Amino acid sequence: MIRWGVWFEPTQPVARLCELAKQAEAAGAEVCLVADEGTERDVYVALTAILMSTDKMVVGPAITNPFSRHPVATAAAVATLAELAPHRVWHGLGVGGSRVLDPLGVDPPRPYTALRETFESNTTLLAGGSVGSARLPWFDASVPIAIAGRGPRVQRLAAERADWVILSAKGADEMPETAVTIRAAGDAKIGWSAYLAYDAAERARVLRHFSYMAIDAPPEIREAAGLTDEATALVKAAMLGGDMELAASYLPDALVDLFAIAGTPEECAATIAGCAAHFDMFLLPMNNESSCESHIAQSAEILNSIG
Amino acid sequence: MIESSVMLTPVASVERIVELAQQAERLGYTRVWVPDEGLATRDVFVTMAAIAMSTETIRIGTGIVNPYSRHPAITAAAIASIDELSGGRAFLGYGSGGSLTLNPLGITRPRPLIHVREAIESSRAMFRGETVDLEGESMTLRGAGFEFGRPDTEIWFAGRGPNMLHQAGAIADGVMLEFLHKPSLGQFVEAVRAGAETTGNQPRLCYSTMVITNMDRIEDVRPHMTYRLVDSPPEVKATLGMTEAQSDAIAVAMGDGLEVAGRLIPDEWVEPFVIMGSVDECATELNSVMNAHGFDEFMLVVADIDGAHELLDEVAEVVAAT
Repeated sequence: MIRWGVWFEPTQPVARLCELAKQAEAAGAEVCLVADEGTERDVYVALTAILMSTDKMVVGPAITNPFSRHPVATAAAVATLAELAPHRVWHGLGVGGSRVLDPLGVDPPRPYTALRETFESNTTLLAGGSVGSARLPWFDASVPIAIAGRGPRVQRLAAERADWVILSAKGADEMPETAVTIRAAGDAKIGWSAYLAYDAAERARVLRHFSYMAIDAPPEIREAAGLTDEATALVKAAMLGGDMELAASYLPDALVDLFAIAGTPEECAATIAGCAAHFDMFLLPMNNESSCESHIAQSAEILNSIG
Repeated sequence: MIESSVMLTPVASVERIVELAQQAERLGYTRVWVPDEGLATRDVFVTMAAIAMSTETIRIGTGIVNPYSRHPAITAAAIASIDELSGGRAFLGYGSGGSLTLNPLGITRPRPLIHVREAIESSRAMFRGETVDLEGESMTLRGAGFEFGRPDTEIWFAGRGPNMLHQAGAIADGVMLEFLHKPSLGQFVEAVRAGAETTGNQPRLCYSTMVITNMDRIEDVRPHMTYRLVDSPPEVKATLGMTEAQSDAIAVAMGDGLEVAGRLIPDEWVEPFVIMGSVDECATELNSVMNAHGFDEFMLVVADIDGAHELLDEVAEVVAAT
């Protein structure tokens, strides 16, 4: 059996996320990550409710960024969750993307440096230490820190110093080499997140998710995906206009084969099984809000079938 | 009977705060306010979410948050999230933040009037479902908003500076006056009402202090008088007969902790800030203060979370006798 978890965006009411988390836990999910999507439902409100609605699954903000809250306020929120449910909380960090930071008017000049400093300060605070005059006098547990990111510097930081590195939208064929690089750099465990497109309907749903990746990805990744600068600009314009369908229409369908796990359910299982040596936890993102129940059920069948 | 609420500072575990909120709900308190004291206490939104999950009717709000530690749009979304989770029971309380909360974060609290105003006004627009674009003096918003807000989500302000109170009177749905010198209350209320007149606003007014029916509790209050007295205006100190030397001595002793500094506070400096006496005496005085200044609600400050269970019972008796 492989270890797996679910990953939600809080675009749905928190009460519904709780129901989905319970379903996922019953189906075998060990982890439930919730993205910090700015002015969507608050990630800490959602995580609190999920912790209180489930029995044992590990939860975490994944990812949150160093900008929308003061980083040590984030450390205090994570510590509060960890005190509420000992050994059931991760702290996920990343640089944040344009979907979250643009509406807040935040355009960080040095996102990597901010991420590194946040990682360092929050690692210290969550281990009971002080950063300047900041400390968490009431907290004495420990919280694993996960870092997610696509750029090589962020992945190196995660590999060398974090407890987990989370890889998103990384195709199966890239996983062996990526895992070797990460494991050579440090002791971080690998969480691999990839969309599952096990039928035609899910394939269409998956493509829509690559809009954000398209505009936030480093140039070399866009180039590899066959995304021109012109197409990327069109995607961004459509997204700013709120038309996600139009944005997706500019994306090449080949992105699904490159960055998702696509095929029949059996082929998806075989693809993941082929990568089993290269990750420690599979993280399942949701393809579509209204069909999360069936997606969790069908994905659980695929994931639980892998020996 | 006056409408009453309680402030529960999360200096204890979230479970403990939730138990107290459940007790407050059973006793008829209508709101629980959860302060954001930065790293000194548990996270305000985790605590509020846990209360929302564990109660049925009590309203739940921040008491207060500042516009610096989180982006105000993030704070508004968090309040709307709790509102949705609790079936419409959340409210937002803003203040300008204090040194206890902001100093460890290295935040110097620049231009608090503007920060608070832009935070309140943009939050209100987002609660109404508007998409907000703002090139403000304290922040920028580019198409920020959410679809799960409740348009009439209350926005409160708590503070004591005259300009802040004037502004709050003009734009807030409610103004909370916390732990102020009772003989000076009129001037604070007047500042709120003067601001309200400029816009035709009709903010609710909440009076807040500690209630002492059991004289042992004065020991819980003394440490919390230290910084309040040191920060009081000179005329309040003069009324109390407190010299600058005495004020300085308290400030120095605070370096050894509030308990130590509290030993320098005599009973007669506590009394003008709190409601103190038998249940009937407290009820009479509370009625008198509330009526004299036209307060709509009362909020109980809980200084000692260990004794909070008994205190909530005692003050519920006082409120029932009003």
